[in-house]
Amino acid sequence: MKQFLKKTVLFLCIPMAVMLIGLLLPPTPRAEQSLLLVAPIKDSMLQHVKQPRIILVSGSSMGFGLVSQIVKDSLHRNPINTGIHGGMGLYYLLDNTAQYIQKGDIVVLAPEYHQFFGDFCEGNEELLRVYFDNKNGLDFFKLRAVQLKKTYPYIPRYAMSKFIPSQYFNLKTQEFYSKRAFNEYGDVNQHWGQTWPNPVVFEKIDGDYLNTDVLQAVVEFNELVKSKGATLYFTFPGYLEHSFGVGKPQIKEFEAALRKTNLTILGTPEQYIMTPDLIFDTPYHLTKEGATKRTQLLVKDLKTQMQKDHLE
Amino acid sequence: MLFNSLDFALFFPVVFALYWFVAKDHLKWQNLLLLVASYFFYACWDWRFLFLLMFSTVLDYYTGLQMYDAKSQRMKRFWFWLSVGINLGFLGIFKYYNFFAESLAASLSAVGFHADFWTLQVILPVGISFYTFHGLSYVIDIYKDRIKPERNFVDYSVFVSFFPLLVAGPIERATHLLPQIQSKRVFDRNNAVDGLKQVLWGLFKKVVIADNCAEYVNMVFANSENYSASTHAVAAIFFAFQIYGDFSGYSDIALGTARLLGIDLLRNFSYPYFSRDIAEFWRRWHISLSTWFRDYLYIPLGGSKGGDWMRIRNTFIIFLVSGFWHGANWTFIVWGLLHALFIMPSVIFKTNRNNLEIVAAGRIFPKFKDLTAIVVTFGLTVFAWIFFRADSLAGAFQFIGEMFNASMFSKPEGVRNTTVWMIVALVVVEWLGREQKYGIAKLVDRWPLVLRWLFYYTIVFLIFEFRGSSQQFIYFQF
Repeated sequence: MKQFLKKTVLFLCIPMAVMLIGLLLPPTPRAEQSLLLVAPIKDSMLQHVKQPRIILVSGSSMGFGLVSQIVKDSLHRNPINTGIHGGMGLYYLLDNTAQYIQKGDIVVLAPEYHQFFGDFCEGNEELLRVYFDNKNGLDFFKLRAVQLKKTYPYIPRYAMSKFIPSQYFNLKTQEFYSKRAFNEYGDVNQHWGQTWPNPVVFEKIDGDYLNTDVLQAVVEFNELVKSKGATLYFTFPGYLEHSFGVGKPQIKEFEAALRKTNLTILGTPEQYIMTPDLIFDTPYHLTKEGATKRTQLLVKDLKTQMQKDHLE
Repeated sequence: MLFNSLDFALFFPVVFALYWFVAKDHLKWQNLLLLVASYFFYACWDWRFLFLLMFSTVLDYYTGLQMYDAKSQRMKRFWFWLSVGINLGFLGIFKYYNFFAESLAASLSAVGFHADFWTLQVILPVGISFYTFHGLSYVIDIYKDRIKPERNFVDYSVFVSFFPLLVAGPIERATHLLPQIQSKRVFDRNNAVDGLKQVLWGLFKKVVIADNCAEYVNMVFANSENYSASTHAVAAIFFAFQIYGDFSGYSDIALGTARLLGIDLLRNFSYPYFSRDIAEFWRRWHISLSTWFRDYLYIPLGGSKGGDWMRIRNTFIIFLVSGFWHGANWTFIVWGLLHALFIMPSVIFKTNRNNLEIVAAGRIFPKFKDLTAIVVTFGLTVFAWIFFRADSLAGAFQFIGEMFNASMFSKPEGVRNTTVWMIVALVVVEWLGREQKYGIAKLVDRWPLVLRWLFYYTIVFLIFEFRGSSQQFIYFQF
């Protein structure tokens, strides 16, 4: 038994040591090109952009789905588009934004529908990478327990990635999925004017149950925003017509639960359905025309609500 | 708690340490620990169904004793049918009620009657088919006077719910597992190392092969009308590897884990895709289920002793029941029916025991005749798997229809090279190791220590680097 344990521990120690070294090594050149690298830049925008501000919170559906200049020109507020990647999870988006909210801010929350089903809101590998590549790795361990439980299995893979040649060579990536993809407001605009040959179509919304915990987290986020003297509006992402059709029962279930809360909701999910010609590469990623249409719809809803709330 | 989760990686060392260090000299404590660990393992899915498992355990334990102690054959028969009835009743309610209600309603509607049966909104308890069959074999064996009942309740409960086999088998027999539970286990280093190697190989098959294939298969099956015929063909082949990697990977992990605890479980897979005919395939695929049906259904029905017609009839019954065991859907029944049809020539011409020995034993390459037979048999199983994977019969026929057209000769869409290379690696390793219990059992035993470790580290690396997105084990739903 002793010999078995000794050899097993020794066998395990070697990859453990390699993993630890991997965790401590700086981000790889490929990781440094990733769009996740803008996370600290967007945090900095949240800290330093001057009032009056409007903060738009979601995953890539916001990054790829907004023309902030229209928001700025129409509402005369400085837009901060925080959208990067849905895989960071809605809990992260809420908790991270919460620390930067200032008095007078208008916060527009438009998460992807996927965030409300199953455990998607707890984050994926992207959440881990945001911390270890771009923020303080130790802060990763301060995340909510459910986020840690969901993402810690990615640690070995992340650490091992530091030793993969493809992380160091042949680094060509799509510009619109790189740190250079964003404009000064945080919109992804590198793909504007391009078309994508075979856009992905979602045939269902993954996650087999409506996650009421994350809905509750949004309600708590609303209370926190209010307590800071800011205002939260909830709205819906632009979403491909076909994927909306197949996911409609889930979306309606989500909407029904949402409308039972005290959140201020702008528009309806149907309003933000996008035809295929307005879609870039995934059902949430819009072309320039799609992003313009979505922004105009959003601005219209916002103007009406802001008038009601005397915020114009 | 999945075998391929870090939860299990934390759970198992704790059980291992308590088992071999704290309870080492006390068999009773070891068995009690196994029972508590097994119930905890099961409760991690859904603690409510733990009561169903406990009830099933108490039922079979009690009726087993009553049958043995019965003063008359009539009472013995009463307890036997009570146990069988309740066991199958639970299986029927949880797994088959909705299927029968919906099928009956559809049949009545086809002849002009409108019937609106209640359907149940119930979740299928994980592993119910496995532990029910487990218990049934015990009860049948007592009824047939093949074994005596186990009087120690903890030992019997461990037999039913031993966590490595609880949710997806292998389906154990009392004659094989109970004596091991009753006797003192001694730690055997070679056995434990072998167990670890088997777990590692199982993880590779599940995490690298099955999960990567699953991503592609799910993509194509969910939206088949958008893909070319060649893409359909690749998806069907990938599903064959997905289900093999998933289920045989699970079995390898289960067997390896049990061996680390000093317990040998029944072998469940023996390189089924190297079979030269369908009869051989069924001697190598899900062996514990095939032998269960042979012993508890085929032979009681008369087996092959009643002439050709009885043999043919019994073969059809076995395959249809086997299909239905997998799930309450016509797709599984057609899958079973197809296998019955595929095996029929060898049943009729009595060639079903032609290929009993390992293919190309002692050689590296097979004969051309064997290779052709392997490819044809694999092709037949791939075709049948389409029904197994499809959500409905209409979906399966649509998939097959789309698989045969001019675009069969176009380049398949979206195939990742890494997935193909990993499948090639699996086939090569399993071919080289086909005379052993599992692919890497003796593959590198003669290599120097450094190279051996390097080989195992390579597998670990592949598991982390090329793992697909985590999928539930397919056989949990059965």
